[in-house]
Amino acid sequence: MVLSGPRTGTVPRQRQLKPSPEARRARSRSVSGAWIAGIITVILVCVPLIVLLWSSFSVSKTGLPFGAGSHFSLSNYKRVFTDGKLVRPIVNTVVFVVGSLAVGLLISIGIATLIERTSLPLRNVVFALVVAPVAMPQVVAGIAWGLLLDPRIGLINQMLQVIPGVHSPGPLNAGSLASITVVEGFMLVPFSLLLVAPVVRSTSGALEEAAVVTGAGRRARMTKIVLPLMAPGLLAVLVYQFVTAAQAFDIPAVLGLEKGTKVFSTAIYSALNPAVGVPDYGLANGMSVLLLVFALIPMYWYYRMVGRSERFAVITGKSYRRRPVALRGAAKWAAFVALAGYVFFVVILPLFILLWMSVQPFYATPSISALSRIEFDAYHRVFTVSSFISTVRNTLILGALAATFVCVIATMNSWLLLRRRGFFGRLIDVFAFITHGIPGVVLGVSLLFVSLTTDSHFHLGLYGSMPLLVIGMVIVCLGLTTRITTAGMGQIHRNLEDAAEMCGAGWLSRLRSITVPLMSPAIANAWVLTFAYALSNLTLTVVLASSKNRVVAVELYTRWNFGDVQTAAALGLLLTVVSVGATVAARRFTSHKEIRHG
Amino acid sequence: MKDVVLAGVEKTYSATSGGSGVPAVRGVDLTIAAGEFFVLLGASGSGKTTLLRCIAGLEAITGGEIRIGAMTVASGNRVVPAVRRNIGMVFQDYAIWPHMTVGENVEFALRHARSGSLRGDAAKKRVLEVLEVVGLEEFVDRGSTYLSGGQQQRVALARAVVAKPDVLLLDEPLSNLDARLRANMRKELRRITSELGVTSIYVTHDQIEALVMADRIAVMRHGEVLQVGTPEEIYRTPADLFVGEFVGEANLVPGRVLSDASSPPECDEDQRFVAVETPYGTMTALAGTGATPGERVRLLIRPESLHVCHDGSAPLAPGWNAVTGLVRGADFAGAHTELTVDVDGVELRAQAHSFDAVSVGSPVTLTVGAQWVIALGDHPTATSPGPAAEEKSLVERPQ
Repeated sequence: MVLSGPRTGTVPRQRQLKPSPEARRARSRSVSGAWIAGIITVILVCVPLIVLLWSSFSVSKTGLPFGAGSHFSLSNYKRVFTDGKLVRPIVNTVVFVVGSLAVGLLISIGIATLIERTSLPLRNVVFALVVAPVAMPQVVAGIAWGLLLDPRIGLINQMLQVIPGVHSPGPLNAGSLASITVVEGFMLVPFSLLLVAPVVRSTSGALEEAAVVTGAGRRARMTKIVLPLMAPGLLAVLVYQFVTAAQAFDIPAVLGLEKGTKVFSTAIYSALNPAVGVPDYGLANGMSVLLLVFALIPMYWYYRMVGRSERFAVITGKSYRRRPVALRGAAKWAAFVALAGYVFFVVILPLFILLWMSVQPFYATPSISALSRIEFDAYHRVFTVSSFISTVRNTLILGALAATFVCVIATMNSWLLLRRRGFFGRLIDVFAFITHGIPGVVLGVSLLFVSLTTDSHFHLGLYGSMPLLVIGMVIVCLGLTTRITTAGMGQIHRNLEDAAEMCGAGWLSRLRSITVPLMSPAIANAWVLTFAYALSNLTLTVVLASSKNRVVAVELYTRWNFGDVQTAAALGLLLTVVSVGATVAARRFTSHKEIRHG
Repeated sequence: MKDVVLAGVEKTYSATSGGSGVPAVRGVDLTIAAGEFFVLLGASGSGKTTLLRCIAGLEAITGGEIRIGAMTVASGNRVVPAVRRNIGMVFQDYAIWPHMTVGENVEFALRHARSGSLRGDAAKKRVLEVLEVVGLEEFVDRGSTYLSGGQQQRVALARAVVAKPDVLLLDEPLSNLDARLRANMRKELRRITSELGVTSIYVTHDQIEALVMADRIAVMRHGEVLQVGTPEEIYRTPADLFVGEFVGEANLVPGRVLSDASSPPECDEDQRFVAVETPYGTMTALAGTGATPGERVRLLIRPESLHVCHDGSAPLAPGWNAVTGLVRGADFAGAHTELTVDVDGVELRAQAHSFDAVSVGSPVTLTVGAQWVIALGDHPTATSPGPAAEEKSLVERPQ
């Protein structure tokens, strides 16, 4: 199918009778709007990356991409590899990615095994509690951990200082590489668990059946059956989360940046926003391209793997009878204590410390005496100060606009992929999927360059504007949203649309009256998730931040860096409540509004 | 009411990755008269549904031409989109929109009708009119998911005809219904389509359905039309062994054509008869495709055309064939008893009246008029694409 093919239902008939060879192969279906959305997708993904790539080879006197007297040069890349200051961040990034993946995946595999394979009490409650933080904005979680792990007054450190021989400050340091690695590992757990649990569930069934039939030894069953069966599923999770960790920004930014612990993504940010001096666009540019490659290659691999393995249905779709292993005595208690400990320290404690700090005028260890100092000034400020109100308004506008645009584009993309099935449809699916592999910082830098370039040539006023932020958020969310809408549309039998076509309904009216109403649960789900995501996103918002487009996440981050902990905690809690509320609402949508299809 | 003409219609699906495309429809020529009830009969994979979707405009043809009335809707380089063809279609799974009521489903078609959209009271009136025809006028405000299969079927039909289409396409509409309902709906469908006088093209894999409902049938295999004719022609004088076996039960007796034979009395003069050497001796048969002297043939004999005589009183009229054998099996099937008769080591199926006491092991004489024995060339039909596809057709054949 080629671009010259589209026809609309309103064009006079003569014009539809095109005697071209393409038209012979072309199907008679009219298409138009969906192609526009498809093209928008390609533009959204390509333009920023092309600008990024192009400007990385250009150097100018002003330091701006395409600035006065710009010319071709490899010096941006040369500086990345020769700048001694970048050795640390690169080493840090390797440690950070490997370490956080190890922590995140081992914890989630452990929890998944306990929940899916054993008869542990309260399994479903534990599962819900472990997964719940998926809806907590990472910038907020970062602040909570900063409060818990502060070397002097951090709650966890104070607990540890009870041990004889351990003295303040320490022993843990919120800003250390070890801390940000472990905390990032915790951040990876909820989503990893969601991905790993089905893998463990299905293979455990296979294990039981194999055991019954062959009577093979435990070790043989493990190495011959379970591991090979789980390997593809686990590998997919590993690659996906590798990309997530490689581009992680919030935790390293909140915890490490002030203390000088940089990873690649935060090093890019600090090149753009140095504590002293002017932004170093060239260095940020070169590093961004490298980070992009670092993240995109595994993402491409993942796409091919998953593309082949919607057929992994063997792993996820089939239901085996669950035969839980009964844990006895000490093992049972050890498992239960470990799970309870995880939930207490990683899920409950961060929320508690946020709540506590939001009602305390200054840092104070939770105690009876401190209860008398409880005040609600921070919440009062949030709702009354005018700059806060405009920040909240910006945030809501960003969320609503981005979610709406992304849902429209994603729905059209799904339609192209599922109903047109052509090469272009698949291409657009790849483009939409790629967005997950574009690190937020890199996208931020790319859009920054796009805005600088267009502003200097066309004076559009894109730099630091709300529209720029909305565009960025649309790009970031496109991949996930397209997956949701594709899954939703995939449930609608094609005949329902064909029937409308036979009734004489044109393309748009089929989509409007049949397809969209039928897939409305999926669209609502996608909208709410995008909305919640846009609210919590720090990476893009902080890189593209200006006084004109300030949003809550940036406000939080700034307050935290200025030491206004009380307001940061209060804002963080509010943001968490909205985000969790939206996520729960999205789940409701999908579970209760299923429509039976005729 | 318009006629539909297909001339050399081809549909080849483009190959997904490398290799040549898959031909689903190959060079189909058909002329369907205005107001006719025409059935496309074939096993799954025979291309009948693809052909129907090409007529609908849901698939683009890759060669040939399709005309509806005076309008060429598809030919090599011209395509009239489905929405402008003024065709009504009933889908196999009904495709009733679950988020609309019965009335809304039907009204949707009216609103987008090519013949000019109706709205408001006029639309309501027309919707009720059509729902009355299909017997669902009380269900107009019912949610469409609260309907039985048969009712959904009627809604789909009402929706397809409400805008007075030139042509009505039906894609296996009865295959999801249970047997009794299916039998009722056959009559209903025929009544409604003839009441409306619409040209109907009906796809099915069920030969009984085709025989009962059709004005004419086209039997398809591997994307080609093997035979077009009235139900009786298809059943009595199939063009080849495949068609003969596909449309009904058949005994196939191997043999070799000896010579032409004279027409038995009571038979048309223009029919050609042949004498065929078989394991039971020489039999007289109606000459079908490929029955030339010296050729190997199979004699196709429908079980119900064999007269069963178990008391030795065989009415052997001139030109009749008779064989004797032993009853090996007798399965009571209600209205009749299905017999398996061993004749010189070859088994023949026959039907006896169920009141006749035919016992296993007893000798019987089977007689059959020469005009009910068809000699058909015993070799893969010239049109078949090869041994692999032959094998496939054996697998796909029902029963």
